Amino acid sequence: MDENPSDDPYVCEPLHGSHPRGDGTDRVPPALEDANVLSNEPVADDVWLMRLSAPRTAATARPGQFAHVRLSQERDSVLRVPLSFFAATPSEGTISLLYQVLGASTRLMSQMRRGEACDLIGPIGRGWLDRRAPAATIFEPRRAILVAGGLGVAPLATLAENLAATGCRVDVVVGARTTSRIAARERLETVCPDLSIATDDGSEGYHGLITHLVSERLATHVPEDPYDYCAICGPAPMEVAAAHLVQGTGIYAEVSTERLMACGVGACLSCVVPTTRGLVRSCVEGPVFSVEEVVWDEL
Amino acid sequence: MSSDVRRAVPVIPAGVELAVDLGGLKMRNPVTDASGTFGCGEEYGDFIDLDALGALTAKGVSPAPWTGNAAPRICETPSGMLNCIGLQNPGMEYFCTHKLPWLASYGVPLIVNVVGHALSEYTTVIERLERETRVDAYEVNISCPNVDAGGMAMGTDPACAAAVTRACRALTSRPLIVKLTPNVTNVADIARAVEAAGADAVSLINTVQGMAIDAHRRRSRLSRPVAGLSGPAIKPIALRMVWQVSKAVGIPLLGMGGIVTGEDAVEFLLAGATAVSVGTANFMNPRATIDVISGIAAFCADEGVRDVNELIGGVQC
Ligand SMILES: Cc1cc2nc3c(=O)[nH]c(=O)nc-3n(C[C@H](O)[C@H](O)[C@H](O)COP(=O)(O)OP(=O)(O)OC[C@H]3O[C@@H](n4cnc5c(N)ncnc54)[C@H](O)[C@@H]3O)c2cc1C
Ligand SMILES: Cc1cc2nc3c(=O)[nH]c(=O)nc-3n(C[C@H](O)[C@H](O)[C@H](O)COP(=O)(O)O)c2cc1C
Ligand code: FES
Repeated sequence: MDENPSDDPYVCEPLHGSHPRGDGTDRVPPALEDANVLSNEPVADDVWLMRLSAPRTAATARPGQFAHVRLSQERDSVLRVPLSFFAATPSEGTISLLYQVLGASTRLMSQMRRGEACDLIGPIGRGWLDRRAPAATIFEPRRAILVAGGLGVAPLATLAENLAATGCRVDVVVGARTTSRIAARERLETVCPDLSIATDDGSEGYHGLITHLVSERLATHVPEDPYDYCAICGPAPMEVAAAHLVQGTGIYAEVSTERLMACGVGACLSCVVPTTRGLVRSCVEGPVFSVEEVVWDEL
Repeated sequence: MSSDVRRAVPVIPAGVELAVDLGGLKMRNPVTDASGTFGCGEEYGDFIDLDALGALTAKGVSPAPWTGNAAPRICETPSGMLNCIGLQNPGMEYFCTHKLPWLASYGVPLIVNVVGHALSEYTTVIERLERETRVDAYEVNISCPNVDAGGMAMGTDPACAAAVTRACRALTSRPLIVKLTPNVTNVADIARAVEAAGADAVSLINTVQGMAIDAHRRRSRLSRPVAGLSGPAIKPIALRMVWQVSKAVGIPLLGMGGIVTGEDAVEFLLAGATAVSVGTANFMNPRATIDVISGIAAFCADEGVRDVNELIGGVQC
């Protein structure tokens, strides 16, 4: 279980209620917030962007964290939808969610109009670079590689911008089924003009798996200018393959895990991820984990 | 629902009496959370004032840690959800050393849900918890598979249910609530058996067995083919069982299954429940327990009911 913060330098104490995070910064507890749709439009094939006014969440959200959104107050749907922050603008009190229309909930979401209300719990979880850094020092990556499969780009876009703003050189590798499915290209290109793209159908970039591009990039890993950070988000099989490539390279790598979530606040244990500490709750102890702490064969 | 209320508290109109007595457990109002949906309250303490609950029900505690089942553990279904969490819990020692001290800062009565795979596991947990003063009552979950009886749930056989109840009864004078499974032919028989064996109250219903299949992949949607259905979808089943059991026994009932609003809760009281638990609704709305308390109180005020106890068993059939 979640006892024993252990000797793993990347592991934090379990979160309990409003207790401090245990890593020097105070945890901002998630709250229930009423939100209003400001805009909602398609930005790529089956991919939509919703902007919401949610000032409290906007003020505290960090990249990699997520909101647990209740789209309708009807009882025929009991589960909320977990969605990463694609953007958060505290000065405007807004957040943006980039989502793929997959099933009933996301279809309903795509039908929502400006002015409609919903509510959300946020911000939830540990985001990118949110863990206690090794030896309690603050870790500032100098050269990073971000690996985004499909909608995995959602939590990575802000991270890319934030890293670039600290002077980090950021390479972004994007994988999609087809070129018209690639979302958020402009945001990524301002940080990394030379995006590496792989498509399943060969309609753009490399024809094949994104992991091929990742291994190419890692092979150019030279001692004078090494990658020191890698962030991975995408479908589970891609995450497993990418994690496998980066493990043992000495690069500090993190992955955002996608689990089915009921409560989204740490109470129900529906979202557990196998880690070196046992099965831990992805919603509050993740969704971002270090690649080293996930037990990949059990995922 | 407003954004600025951090820890929600119920709105109770003056003159409405909400206190109930659940088999010796004094509750300031008839609402608790359903075990397993609420952790031990820590997380929901960010959203509601836990001390406003009639009682806090902790998740199932076993003697040793249980790892639970593989993922996927949940799946949404029409008006409900299936789960096969598998009662993952860190065991009674961790519960006593980590959870109870945290709960010490709250005054809310504490019901501990007890799980086991054999009779001796239930008694081991109760013996350990008897040493802890923070515990006010037990809810014995007899829906677990019994390894001594080929995996059949304890709660599906009257003799077996009675044996567990009797063994726990012998160890404690605290209120003993036995939680019944709906996956039986005659729930009243089980209820009578646990009443005769010394239970102070029964709670019902646990989840209803169900299944979900992904047609395209031709596979179960969950890691275990048979899982537990909860939420509004099971409310009619739960109401029927509460009503049947209330006719069969004299001890009070803790009713649950699909309660989302105060009016849902009132229906359970009318069917014969003395108190209610709110489970899956917490996932829809983290303030559901508080909204249910306010809803019951508003119902009483609107209908001229001075004391909530007047509602219990009041349905006319
Ligand atoms: C922390 C977190 C952040 C997420 N961020 C985003 C995001 O920014 N943008 C985005 O488009 N999606 C994101 N997701 C996934 C998103 O929650 C699901 O796509 C959504 O819930 C699907 O709901 P639905 O009712 O439309 O589809 P459903 O009918 O429920 O499902 C359609 C298919 O998607 C699968 N699925 C459903 N929910 C999940 C889930 N939570 N994780 C993995 N697979 C799932 C189902 O198994 C099914 O195969 C995130 C998930 C998590 C856990
Ligand atoms: C995710 C989940 C976990 C549960 N875990 C437990 C448990 O540990 N012990 C128990 O007695 N019941 C457990 N239950 C059953 C609930 O306590 C309750 O009996 C049931 O869900 C019906 O109520 P509801 O429809 O309000 O959820 C669980 C239910 C859910 C949905
Ligand atoms: S979703 Fe309930 S514990 Fe993570």
